Amino acid sequence: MTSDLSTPAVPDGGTESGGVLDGNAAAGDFAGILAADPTTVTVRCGSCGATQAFGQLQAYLGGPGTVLRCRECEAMVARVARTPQGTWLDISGSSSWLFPRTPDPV
Amino acid sequence: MTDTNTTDSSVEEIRSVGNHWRKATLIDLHSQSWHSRTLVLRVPGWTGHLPGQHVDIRLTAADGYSAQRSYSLAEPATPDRVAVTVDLLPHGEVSPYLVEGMEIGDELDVRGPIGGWFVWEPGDPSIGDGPVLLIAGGSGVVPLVTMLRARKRAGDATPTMLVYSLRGPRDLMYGPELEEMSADLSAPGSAEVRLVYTRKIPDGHPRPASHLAVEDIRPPSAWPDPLAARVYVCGSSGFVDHATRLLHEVGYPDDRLRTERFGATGVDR
Amino acid sequence: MVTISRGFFGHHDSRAVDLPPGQHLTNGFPVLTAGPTQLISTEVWSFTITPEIGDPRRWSWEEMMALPSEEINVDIHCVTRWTKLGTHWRGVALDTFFEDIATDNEYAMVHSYGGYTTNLPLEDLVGGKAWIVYEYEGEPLQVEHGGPARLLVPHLYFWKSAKWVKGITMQRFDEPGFWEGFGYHNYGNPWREERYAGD
Repeated sequence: MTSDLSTPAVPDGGTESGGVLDGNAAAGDFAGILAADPTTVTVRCGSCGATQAFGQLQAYLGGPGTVLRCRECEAMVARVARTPQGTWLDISGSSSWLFPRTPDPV
Repeated sequence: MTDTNTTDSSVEEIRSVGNHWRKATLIDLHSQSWHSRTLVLRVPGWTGHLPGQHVDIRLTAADGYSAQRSYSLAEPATPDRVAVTVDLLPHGEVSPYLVEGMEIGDELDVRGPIGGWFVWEPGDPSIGDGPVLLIAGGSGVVPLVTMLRARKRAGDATPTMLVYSLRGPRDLMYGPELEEMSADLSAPGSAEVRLVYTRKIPDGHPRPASHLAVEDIRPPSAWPDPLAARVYVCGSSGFVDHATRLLHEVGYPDDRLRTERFGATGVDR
Repeated sequence: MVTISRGFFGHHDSRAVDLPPGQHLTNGFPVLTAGPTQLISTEVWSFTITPEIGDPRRWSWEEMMALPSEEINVDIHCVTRWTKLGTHWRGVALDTFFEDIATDNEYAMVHSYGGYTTNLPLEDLVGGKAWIVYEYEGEPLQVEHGGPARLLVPHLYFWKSAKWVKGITMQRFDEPGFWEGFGYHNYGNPWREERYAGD
């Protein structure tokens, strides 16, 4: 919730400025971690139980890490940070991630 | 052992898609409105993407300072080619360089394509025969026009309407193309386009300037199904919230809606 | 591999001044956050120090404004590599708040409205090194920058300067805060470039 940081990783445009975007904007950060496209995953919030597409989560980017929050209750469901040690992933705020079945190759 | 290694490396290749920076060279430029332009980049090894996906763009100064942003892909897939349409954010850090500074032959890094949720590929079985409703706020029109272009290129006949909310005539992006696309609705690849001016209208425009309202997003009477099979909304966070409220009012359930928000983060205040 | 973009300079200023290693100058004041902006009116705002024994000590906004304040003129350094020179703040030194507090604990956890946390040794909060600030450049601190009041600890990376500060809990043992437990350095001295765990 804090710290003034730089190097935003989000679209630079639009008439409104405001910190919060959505999971689509955070997908680049998660694309290197998950073997599947993150935006099609359905995430269940560990706090209120609401389910939502990853692409619908609130996303706070540009800080030390990327923070994803539930669109319903604003609880943190996931965060990711990249440091020289490696990539840090915390999904403790979520209770499940459903990766949709992709059609079998023909 | 060999099998395991093979599997690992192929998984690694899949994972590296979208997460690997590639050098891009600016090969073409065209202005879209008084404050936006389309940049066409040559990206060797770019294998394609789906309409609605985006790319991350990274600029690096000679002293090592770098800044990164995401932009929607502005054209359907063509090998080795990436196009983005960038709207100028007057006090932004990246967009002034892309809209006003960058010249043909200049280079930057791109990574992608990213995102498989806010996409529409003609023939998508979950949409079937449609229809599809596209709702854009400002430069949120970019990924939606990419969808319309892909639909036209594929000769797809899914009934489609674009509702485009913008401040005034000088903010209109893709004006001639949208006009041509909506001139004859019986022509292949055509789509109904409704321009919703919020502050100032051009001469002769039938709708007075006001914010997007329920009437603006009501489906055309010609649609076989009163509600679209899928609705895509792209704009600022405030616009997406507003449009979502209107869509609920018309009767769209959440599972029909796909939304994408853009905006500035880390802006100087 | 990194491509240099000809003619791109960014918002940073490449004047040759003595900066902590790896930092760039900025003339703006970037706003970034890990969560929603907290809208806390001064009527409901309060700041609480919770010692290990004894009752918590709480200050309302009015009580804080009655404390002696000072002007603070400092440079600030963000772990995302920007440095802003010569920022002017007004606030109350944490020494003033800690005058009333008896504690033997060496560690503090700072809490914010909205749930953010950051940890510091107590010795970095006292001795004229840290403040609760409520004015920036002569104006009330804007909510995007942590208003109505934030912590200011300018000798450490700026993630330690928690926005929307709500309280400090004294601890016998050091525990990591929101970023300290997630790959970032526990202490965060910009002059030793303590960005990440293990630096």
